[in-house]
Amino acid sequence: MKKSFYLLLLLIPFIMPKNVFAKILYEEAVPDSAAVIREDGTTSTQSITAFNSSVIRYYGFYQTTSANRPQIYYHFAEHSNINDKYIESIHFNFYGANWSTYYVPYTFTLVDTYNNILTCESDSTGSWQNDIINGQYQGVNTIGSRNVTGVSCYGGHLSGQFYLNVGGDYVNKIGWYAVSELSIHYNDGTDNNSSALNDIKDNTNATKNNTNDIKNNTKETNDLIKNTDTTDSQNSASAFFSDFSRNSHGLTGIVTAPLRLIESFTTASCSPITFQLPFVNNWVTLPCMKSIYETHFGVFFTLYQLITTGVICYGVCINLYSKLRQLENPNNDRIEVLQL
Amino acid sequence: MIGKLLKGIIDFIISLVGIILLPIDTLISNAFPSLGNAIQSINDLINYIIGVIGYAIDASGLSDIALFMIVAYYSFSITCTLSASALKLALKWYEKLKP
Repeated sequence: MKKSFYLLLLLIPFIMPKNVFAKILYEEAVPDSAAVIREDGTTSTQSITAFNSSVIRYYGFYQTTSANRPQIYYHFAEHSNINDKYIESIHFNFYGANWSTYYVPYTFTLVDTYNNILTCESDSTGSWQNDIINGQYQGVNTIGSRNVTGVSCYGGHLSGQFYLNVGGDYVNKIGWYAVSELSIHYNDGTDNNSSALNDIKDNTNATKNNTNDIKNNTKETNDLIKNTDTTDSQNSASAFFSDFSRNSHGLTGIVTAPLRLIESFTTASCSPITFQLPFVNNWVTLPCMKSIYETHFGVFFTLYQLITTGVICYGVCINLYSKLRQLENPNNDRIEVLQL
Repeated sequence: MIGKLLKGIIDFIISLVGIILLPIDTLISNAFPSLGNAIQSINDLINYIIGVIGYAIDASGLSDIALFMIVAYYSFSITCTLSASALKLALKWYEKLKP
């Protein structure tokens, strides 16, 4: 049971389909402006160049003695980074910093439920008016964060704004310092569910193609096995052995004569022999005899062939048996070419 | 196919024998030219006999089955003898090299 469990663990990476999960590009959209709206209504705007390039941070520092609460205001118009993208989430982080003797507010509250809005000109309108961030600040910590999901702007231009209200009991007494971060996570639309399904479809098609290739190869192999034509094999065998040089001179010719005689059995064909008779100077041609035998002896020639074939086959079988007995002898390692 | 295989094996053996006997053949042809001529005469006779072997086989009236059995037997003898000898030689080496 335990082994089966470990085996299942090992098999999980192979069982899970690959390239199914969406790849989310964690990119950050840069607002075009940000500002602190003071309690008296005046605005302190910070240009885009003042933002940290890697993380969108707005450093707001403000002192007040009144009870009115200031706001941090973000606005971002159409931005090329997030146009035509699937918005996976919008994430806020708010930090409070211990600014020397200053106090910081208790809470940052995402307020103005009618003003916090993201619009997409051609797709849908995503809103997060009701997302309220309430974070308690104690020391240098994250005050609060919030993910906003369900905002899609594929095929359109995204724009929006939001207000961050600074709350707490001490705001009206002293100044505050806060850092807010905004990041918008999006992907380019190629790794959503439909693209994952497309990946599965592509993988299935690739598997199908591989299966077809295997079927075709198997068919070719079967056809090759069933093919009785040995021409290619004979040509290959001939080509392999054709490079061996043959020497029929000197002692080599004598020693290898039996081998060449055996070889001639397979290649020799009858050709009439012509020679000149001595003393009379006449040329004599001896025709091939087999056709003459068949013509003039008929049944007797067939009987003769039957008897000789039987005797030869018997001798071959006896010698074959003897040869096998010799091969069984482990000490017999002689190669007797001449005896062949 | 058997004929091709037999021819290939025979060519291989003839080539091997030729390599082994090459120094002796060279010595005879250079040091003993008369002996070389005598040996060449024998070879010419053998070649003539091999040349008329087709006629002899035809004149013997042997059936195709009998000829096939003869060729098959010698094919088996050559291939199996060589294979078994090589295998036994390899086993002997293994026995000697075995710690």
